[in-house]
Amino acid sequence: MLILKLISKLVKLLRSSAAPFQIAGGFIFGMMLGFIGFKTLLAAPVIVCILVLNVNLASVIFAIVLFRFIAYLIDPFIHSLGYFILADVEPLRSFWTTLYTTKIVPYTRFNNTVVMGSLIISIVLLIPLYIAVKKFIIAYKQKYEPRIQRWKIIQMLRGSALVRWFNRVKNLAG
Amino acid sequence: MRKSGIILLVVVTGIFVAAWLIFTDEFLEKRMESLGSRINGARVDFNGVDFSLLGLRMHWDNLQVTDPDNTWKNMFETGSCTFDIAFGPLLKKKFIIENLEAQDIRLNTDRETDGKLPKRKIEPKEKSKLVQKIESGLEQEKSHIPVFNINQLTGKINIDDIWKSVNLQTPDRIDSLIDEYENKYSEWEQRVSGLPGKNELKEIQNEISSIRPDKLRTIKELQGSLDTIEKDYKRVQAYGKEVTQMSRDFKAETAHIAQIDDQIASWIDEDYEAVLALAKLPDITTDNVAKLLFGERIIAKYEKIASIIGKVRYYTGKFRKTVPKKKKPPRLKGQDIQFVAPEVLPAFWIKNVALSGKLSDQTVIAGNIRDIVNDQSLIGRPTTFEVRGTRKDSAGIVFTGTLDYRGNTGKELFTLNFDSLPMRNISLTDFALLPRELDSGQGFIESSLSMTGSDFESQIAFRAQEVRFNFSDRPGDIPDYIYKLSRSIAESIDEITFEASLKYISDELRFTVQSNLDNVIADRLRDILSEEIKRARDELERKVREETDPYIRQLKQLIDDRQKDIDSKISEAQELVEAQQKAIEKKRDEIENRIEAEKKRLQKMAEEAVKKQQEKLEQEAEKKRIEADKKAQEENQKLEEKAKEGLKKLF
Repeated sequence: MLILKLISKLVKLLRSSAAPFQIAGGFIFGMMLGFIGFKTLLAAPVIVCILVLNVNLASVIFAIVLFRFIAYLIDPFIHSLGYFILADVEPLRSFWTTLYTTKIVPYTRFNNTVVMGSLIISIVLLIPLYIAVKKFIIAYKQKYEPRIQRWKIIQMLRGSALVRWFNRVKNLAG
Repeated sequence: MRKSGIILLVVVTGIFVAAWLIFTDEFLEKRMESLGSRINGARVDFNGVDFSLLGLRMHWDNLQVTDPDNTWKNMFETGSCTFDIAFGPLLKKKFIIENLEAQDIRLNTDRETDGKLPKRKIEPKEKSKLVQKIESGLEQEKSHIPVFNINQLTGKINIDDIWKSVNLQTPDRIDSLIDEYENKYSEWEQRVSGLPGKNELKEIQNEISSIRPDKLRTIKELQGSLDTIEKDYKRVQAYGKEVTQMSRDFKAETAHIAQIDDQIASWIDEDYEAVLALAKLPDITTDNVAKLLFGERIIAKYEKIASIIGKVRYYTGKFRKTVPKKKKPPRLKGQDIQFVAPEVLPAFWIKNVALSGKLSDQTVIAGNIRDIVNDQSLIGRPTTFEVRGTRKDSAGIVFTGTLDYRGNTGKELFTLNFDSLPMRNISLTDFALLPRELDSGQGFIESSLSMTGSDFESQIAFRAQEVRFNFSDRPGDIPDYIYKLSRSIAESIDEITFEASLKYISDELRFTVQSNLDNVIADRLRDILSEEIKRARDELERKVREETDPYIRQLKQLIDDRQKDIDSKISEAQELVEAQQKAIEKKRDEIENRIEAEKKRLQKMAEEAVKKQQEKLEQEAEKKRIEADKKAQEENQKLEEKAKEGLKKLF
């Protein structure tokens, strides 16, 4: 179901009328939430940005699902990265200690290896991913979409019982 | 900017704040219960939790902490409890409480529901190594506490019953020895059979006998026979050496075997000691009496204390680890890294707990616990507590403790003192010769327990004065004279003191108990028991001997027989070799004499021949000289004549 949901979201996303920068913006915010999770104060400014800024919500949800799944897969790497940054890099220890004693900051759970590892990965991916997604959307809409729409498999799928059933179930679920 | 998003944000925030104000107490109650239960390993229940967000004041009406070992009982229960949480540190995620007042504390109360947690994965508690070692040491001490059986006083010791469960080791060990010696002697027999036999020596003897020096004519013949004899002599001499070495080796072996007597004696001693241990015959010494009287109870107390210390160390140990080890947490959970600095406030710190309440025996208690903190090094002080209690009957109790985890080595120090404790209905010992309970008296206990790293030291000093025993519950199954003896011992005691000490220092556990009753009880018991115990000991020793003697005889018989046999074979070989050596030496002498005589004869003959030849030569020389002289004379004459003729011619 997760895969179908993802495909459905992706199709919806690619066919939406939103501007590429809105989709790319939503995608990177979703990526951050997907990686960092919701049990940290770091999620709050991201959520506020998503609600306040005019980013595409479908792309946010798609990215959350996708990157939560990826985070689960690469969790040992994220944990090791976070542990390395927090415990093994001696010069940073005093900085972390200062942060740890600063008001409010401890609620971000930055001292958790997965939160720190995810934050680092998110920051590193932020700009490249934004540019890549934006370029992809532009390229898709200009070059590939008309061609893909002509694919027999797409036309077959559109009329298939599975897709009709999935849409029915989706409508029932509201 | 998205207007609808801003509105949604405001609405969501509003809902969240409203929910917080409405449901915060229930939410906190559940969270605290869940967290407390997880730490305790059994249910922790809060009732009437009230949290004021504006004042940051927390209050609950009742707290019950289930005893994990008995989930139908509470370890303790508190009544009303109020405290303020400091606002500033809370912004830094630091939970600091200046003063917590816990009233109406009661220990060991009954629960209305089972406090067992639903089955789920609980982090296993790691027992500290020290606690493990103390527990195993105490277990060993317990097994060494002498067993006192009243039947040893009331009747004869049944040796046959004891003997049924005896399993002597000596017979099996001697059986193994017999097998081992059988093999050893067989090897020796093989070695002995490898010695030059009679036939081999006979052959040499025949060869020697066939040599008849009187029949030998020439020196060459004699020398040839002498060479043969020398060769045989060397062969016999080599045999002789072999036999002598074997004889020496065998003597060494038999000397070694002779030492087995000591070995067997020590096996029998071991068996005898094992039989005595099985019989559990009391060894009545003053050292043992104190352990007999109070050892088991004191050890049980120490075991309880060790397990409590183990729990304390387990939980406090979590806060002491400053350098976190990398763990493998569940996916997406991660590991929290704690950062420590001198100016950093601890994450959790209750500065003072003022407590008051009642114990189950109606002792009114009041006291303070100071500095309950997750990291003592951050505040520079250990956690301390002092609880004082008094009872209606004027008995007093003072319990103090210091938990110091500031350094690398954890230190715990506890003292527990009881004052003017009424001794009525108190049972001090299960010793069969003393009444179970006291009727009157006053008790004083001073105890201390300190643990530093892996060292442990504890002392208990107990004094009961004006003691009277309660004789009302006389056991029905003991005879009159034992009861009289018990009563006379008990009546002679008006003070009981004992000092127990348990030390675990440098991996060595020492447990001692001394009591003023040691001499009294030991003397009386020795009088009664010594004769019967001596009889039992003698009887058991006799039985051990009786059982092992046949095996020893069998072994000795084997040693004697086989040893004699091998000895005689070696001696026989030695004699043969010696006889042969003598025979050869005799023959050699004969030939040598013959050679000598022949040499002399030949020398004489040679001398005579030389003499004759000399004479002949001399005669010939004389003859030649005479002829030469004659010839010379003739020559001279001729010359003279010639000369004369010449002269004549001249003149």
